[in-house]
Amino acid sequence: MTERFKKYLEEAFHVIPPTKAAMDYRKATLVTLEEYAQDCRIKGVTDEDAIYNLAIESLGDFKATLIAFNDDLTNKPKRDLKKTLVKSGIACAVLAIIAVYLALSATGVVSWGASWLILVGAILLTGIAVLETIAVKIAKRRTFIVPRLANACALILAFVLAYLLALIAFGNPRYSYFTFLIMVVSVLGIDLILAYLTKSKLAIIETVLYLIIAAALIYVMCGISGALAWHPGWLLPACAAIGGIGIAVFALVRKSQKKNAPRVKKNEIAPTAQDDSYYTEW
Amino acid sequence: MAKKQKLTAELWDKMQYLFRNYYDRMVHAVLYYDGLIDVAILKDVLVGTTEKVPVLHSSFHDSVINPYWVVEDYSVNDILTVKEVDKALLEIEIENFITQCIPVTDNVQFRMAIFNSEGKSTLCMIVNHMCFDGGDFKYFLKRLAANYTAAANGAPIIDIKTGTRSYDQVYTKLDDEDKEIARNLYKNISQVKDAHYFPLTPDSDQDKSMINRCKIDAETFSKFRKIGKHYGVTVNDLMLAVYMHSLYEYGEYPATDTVTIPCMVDLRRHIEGGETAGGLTNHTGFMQCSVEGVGKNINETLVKVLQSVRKSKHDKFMGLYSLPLLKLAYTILPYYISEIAIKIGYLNPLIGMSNIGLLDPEALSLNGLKPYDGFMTGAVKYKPYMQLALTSMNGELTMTIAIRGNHEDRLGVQKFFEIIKKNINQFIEDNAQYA
Repeated sequence: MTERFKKYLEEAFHVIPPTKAAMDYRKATLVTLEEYAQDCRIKGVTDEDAIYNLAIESLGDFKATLIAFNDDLTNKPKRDLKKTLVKSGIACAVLAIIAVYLALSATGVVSWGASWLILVGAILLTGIAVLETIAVKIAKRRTFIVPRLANACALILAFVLAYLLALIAFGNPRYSYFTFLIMVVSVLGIDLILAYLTKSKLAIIETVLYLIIAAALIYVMCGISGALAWHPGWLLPACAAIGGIGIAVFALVRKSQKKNAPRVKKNEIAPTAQDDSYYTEW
Repeated sequence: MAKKQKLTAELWDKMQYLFRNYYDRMVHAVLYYDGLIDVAILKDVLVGTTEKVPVLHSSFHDSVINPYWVVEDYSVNDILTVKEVDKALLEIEIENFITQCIPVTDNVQFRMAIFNSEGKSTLCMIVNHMCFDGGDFKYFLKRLAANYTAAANGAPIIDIKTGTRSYDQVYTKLDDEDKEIARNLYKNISQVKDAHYFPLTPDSDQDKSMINRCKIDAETFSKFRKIGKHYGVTVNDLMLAVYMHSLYEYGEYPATDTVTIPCMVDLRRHIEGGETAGGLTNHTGFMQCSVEGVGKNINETLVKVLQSVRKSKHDKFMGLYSLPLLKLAYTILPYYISEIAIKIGYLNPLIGMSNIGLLDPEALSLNGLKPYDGFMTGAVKYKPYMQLALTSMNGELTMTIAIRGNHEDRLGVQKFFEIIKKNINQFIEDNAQYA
């Protein structure tokens, strides 16, 4: 049988140039045919001619497959070219950013004291893009811890960038450091939304913690800025903590109620089964 | 007092230590000899061997940063027990001996027992899996037999491998390009989303370690192999198919469900020099066998098994996946944290198979005294994990399932063995023209 397969392949492969890749493909196809024949024998086919024909048929339009294989080989350098182009594009972008930075700084359009943000901003934006790409790619595998962490890191970078921009645009305004307090509230808040969207088992605990942390930070910001008196402003985190505990207790009670609720057996005879109304009930 | 010598805990030592959460870390062997073993010679050989392999007389020390072995003093009595037993009680004595667990803090990491009954000796041995795996266990027993024979003939020179225990020997057969690829195989192959369990009772106080055994007689096994030879498949493939088929039947899994069984792979196939290279250690990987539904008969299931295992068989890096990931975790993180991280990422297979293979009576003969029967098996799995281990000797196949369970579990496993035997016989009947 192997010899028959070899003979078939030797002839078939004449349609494409005799490359090293074609030889490897020919050897791999022989293994595929032999394995197909083995499967046929185990399934109970005893006629060797029938096995041979079935195996060859399993290759489909083999001539077309071979031509496609060869085309793919010749197109491969194009793919390599695409890779090279992407790499060159990245290198060009880096050089362009450096050139813009030097040009704007040297000509005095932007002072040296502010233009550094062009470089730092580019690095931060690249970081955000990379982290979000990682988050999306891994999330596709239905695992969410790494994506959530990556997303949080990307948000932190975004806040750092925003802070630096504000610093340069407006000098160092009063309470600018609040950006980092708001950052904690935002990062945790968005992560909490993601926890619910991804059905995290710890979402309730995260909600309680979020309420306490967010309320405490808002209380601090309001207290410092004078928007809210320290007293009775302290009621805000206290109420958030009580509210959080209330949510947790409510969630636990609901969970236990669900657990204890009698299960409706799907194969139980319906109460209306005795009369025809069962069949007309929708 | 002289400072005790310390030994590095290798990657697999740490991994096997982590596996204490899933099984008892012991590897077991029992060999039934057709005569009496000379205990005096055996003691000399055991001491000589233990001296040459320091990890065998070392205690393992867990540490937050990096665990290690400390070489300990010992006497042969810590290793060997010799007992005269009544034939009726022989199997009970064997079971009691081989189901014990050696604590990692002990001064010796292997124990041996000789049970003499009616002029015949039974040699039993257990060893900490952290020291070596089934592949090296076979090698150890063969060397023990060869060294015993040499000592009995007046040449008391102990010959046993004493080289490196490092995991990275598995790259020695690869060329530079493949080595580079293999060292970057970070894929976590333990992450199989298969929730099928082998039916066992819930944990209870009555649970104890047990090694359940079942034999396939030489005639049946010979026919079974002959059919396999006709189809060009290995005993491993055949047994995987029968095992899969029997699992669907015993576990009452829906016929269209996907079931995955990891099959242990001896990574010495990748090592220059094979089993004699390096030192006594673990070199075991996984080969996943996944079938999308059971066949109508064993032949159909066999085709499904083959279609799955071929992917691994054609892969020149078979079994080498995840090693770089483990190495990375143990390198960049303190041991305590790396163990937590690995535990999170590692999914211990619920159902497994280990084909330990042939036990050669010639190679295991002690100065001409041949074993007429015997088996080897892996660690005793804790619920819900289980593994079927296979060894063959003198043409017979011994199946073992080592679990912690109660009487009900034992009955369940025996029922499962009966299903496997029934399916083997059915396969032979269906393919009688080739047997």
